[in-house]
Amino acid sequence: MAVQINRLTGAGPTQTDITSINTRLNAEDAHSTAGTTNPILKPAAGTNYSYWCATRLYYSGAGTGTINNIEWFTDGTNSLGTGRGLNVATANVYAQATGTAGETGTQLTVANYGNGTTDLDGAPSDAFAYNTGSPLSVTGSVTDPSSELFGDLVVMQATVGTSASAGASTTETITWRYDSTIA
Amino acid sequence: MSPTIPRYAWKATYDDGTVVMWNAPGISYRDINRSKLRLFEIVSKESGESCFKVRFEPGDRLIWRNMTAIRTGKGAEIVQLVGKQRTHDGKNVQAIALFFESDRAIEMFDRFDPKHPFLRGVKLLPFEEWVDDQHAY
Repeated sequence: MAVQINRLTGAGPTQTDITSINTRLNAEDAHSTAGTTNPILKPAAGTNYSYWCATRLYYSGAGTGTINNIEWFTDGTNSLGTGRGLNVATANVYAQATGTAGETGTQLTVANYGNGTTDLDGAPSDAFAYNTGSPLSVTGSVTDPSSELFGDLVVMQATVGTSASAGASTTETITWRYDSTIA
Repeated sequence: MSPTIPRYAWKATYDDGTVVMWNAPGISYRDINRSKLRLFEIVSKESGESCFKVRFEPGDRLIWRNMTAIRTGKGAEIVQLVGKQRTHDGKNVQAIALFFESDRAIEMFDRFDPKHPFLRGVKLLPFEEWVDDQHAY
């Protein structure tokens, strides 16, 4: 009887509850908190990407009432480090991330995601433009949920440019916010 | 316990003394009889202690939400919102209270404000008669 944040990976997809932990964006389609097997390769030119990270709210158990007014945002400041960024978009369908493991994910674009036209709600944008006063609005709601995903997906992708230095990024905190009439 | 499960909930008292609570079988927020509502409280789920009370008169309109912000890896903040609105001399007058579960602090406002993280406005449900005509400063 609780809301949780799930990361979706694989073809299934597999769902991992990341509500109380971190998830790392690597060059692989898998959740980990500190995996180093498939890092994003620093490019010689241009930009490399993480495999995109699909997240979605999940209601565990049964509840009576409505959850709506879903929003997503960061702290508004990119602290990932030089040459690193984070893009985000919402999606109405899950699409498995692809790419070359240990090197780069496929760039998250409308054309590269799902059906290539409507599965991604729009072109990705800078995640740090979304903050508590100007959040990303996530379409969708659920009434009387019963162990189900709800609302649109929020799909993130890390970017690495030629000026980035090796090593793990500083952890960024993501906030999901919603209203509920489930007591 | 999951950090996203509210520790407080609602209790409604009608004009005939009938008490309806959040955990009554077959009863939910949408089932509250608003024409009979005289007292709306936020109570501790664990102890039943009443932490915040709002009195209602005939014609007053109610909205209630529990609003949650989940910060990945850092837990959740839950805020109970209780709003009361009435029409007086053709004008809507309202009061909105936020009850913060973390420290039981209460903040009062007379309108929604998109600059406030928990006062940005609600998406009204079909059974709510709230008139949404007063917003940001």
